[in-house]
Amino acid sequence: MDAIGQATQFAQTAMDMANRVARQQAEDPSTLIPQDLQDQAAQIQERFTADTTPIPITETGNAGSAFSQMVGKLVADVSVKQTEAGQAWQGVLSGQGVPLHQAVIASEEAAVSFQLMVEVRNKLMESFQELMRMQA
Amino acid sequence: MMRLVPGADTTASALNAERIKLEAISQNIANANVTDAPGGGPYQRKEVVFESIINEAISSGSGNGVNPSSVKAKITTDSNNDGPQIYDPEHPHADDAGYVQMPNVNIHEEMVNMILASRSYEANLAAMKYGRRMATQTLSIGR
Amino acid sequence: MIEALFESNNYQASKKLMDMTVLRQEAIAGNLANANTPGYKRVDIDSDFAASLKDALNGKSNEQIDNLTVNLAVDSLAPKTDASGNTVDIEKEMVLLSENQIQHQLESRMISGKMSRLRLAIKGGQ
Repeated sequence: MDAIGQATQFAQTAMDMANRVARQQAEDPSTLIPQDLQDQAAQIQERFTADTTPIPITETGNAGSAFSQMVGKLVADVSVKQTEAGQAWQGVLSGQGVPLHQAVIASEEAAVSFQLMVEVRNKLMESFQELMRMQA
Repeated sequence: MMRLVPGADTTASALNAERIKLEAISQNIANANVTDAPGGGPYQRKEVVFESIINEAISSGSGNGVNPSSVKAKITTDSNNDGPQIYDPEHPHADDAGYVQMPNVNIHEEMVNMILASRSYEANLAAMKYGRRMATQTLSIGR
Repeated sequence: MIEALFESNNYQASKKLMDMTVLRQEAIAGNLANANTPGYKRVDIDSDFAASLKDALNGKSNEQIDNLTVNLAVDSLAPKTDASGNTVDIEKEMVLLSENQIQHQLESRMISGKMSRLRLAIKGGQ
């Protein structure tokens, strides 16, 4: 639980940051979001989803919740994968007749999903840090 | 039972069964000339018959399919056929007419059975080897 | 987002095929064990499976692939090999044993390959 907990915490922090940015946009329209930051956000979305429409960050109010929803769903999905892997291994080890390969594959899928979540969190942190640097 | 190596418990039952068969065959061969077995009369050959046992534990897909079977060996004494009678009046176990009742062991038949049993044993060893290889392969996914 | 990672048809098919190779090993082991059992009929993967999988791949539907069930069935086409009606041919089973192991290796490679490609894409090639 600690690894998932930690990652969840970081993702939560990133979500809060994204929300704060969006709120700031709403309050002070004069703060421009630089083009490359918006491009970066669009790139992340593109890389990880089949749907390629970028989330418009310049729109007031909506952006924060859509973005945080996306990250929230990501964390939930990764958690589901981890649970499935755990159940598969339990099925194998307790002699319930789950074949070995199913547990191994479930573990691999969970690991890759987890790695994805960590990378998303890293990118969000980078984006936020760059934004704060500009505002300083 | 953990399904780590596919087919492992089935193959284990087969190796056990073939071993039992080989033991019976060796016993027959060793006693091929025993005319005074405990219980009187000549030695009576042991016969091994295999029967299949449905292995319920291996679930087959959605449960619609059949299950694979293990095997069990059953040893019986072949008291049907009598062996040949040899004319040898000097023999300590000869009857009044001078004939000795020999065991119903046919050496040639036993040798053929022994070869078949060995061949089956080897085949099942191969099955175990390949099953183990598959398990090792599975564990290396993603490495 | 996570589903998108694993929704390739080929990947889903590889997982099903691995289910098949593992089950087939059980079948072959059972056949070899009963090679001398009077009246035993050999079992193998249901002959419909190959056709169903091909249909599912043509239909390009992951759900269809996922719904496929891998079953064992008595091989009705196998000829008798002895007087008692036993249909196990040891040589044939040995050949299948070897082929099955290679197919298992193939599926294992495909799945491993998929995982390493995903990892590479996620890292972004740094």
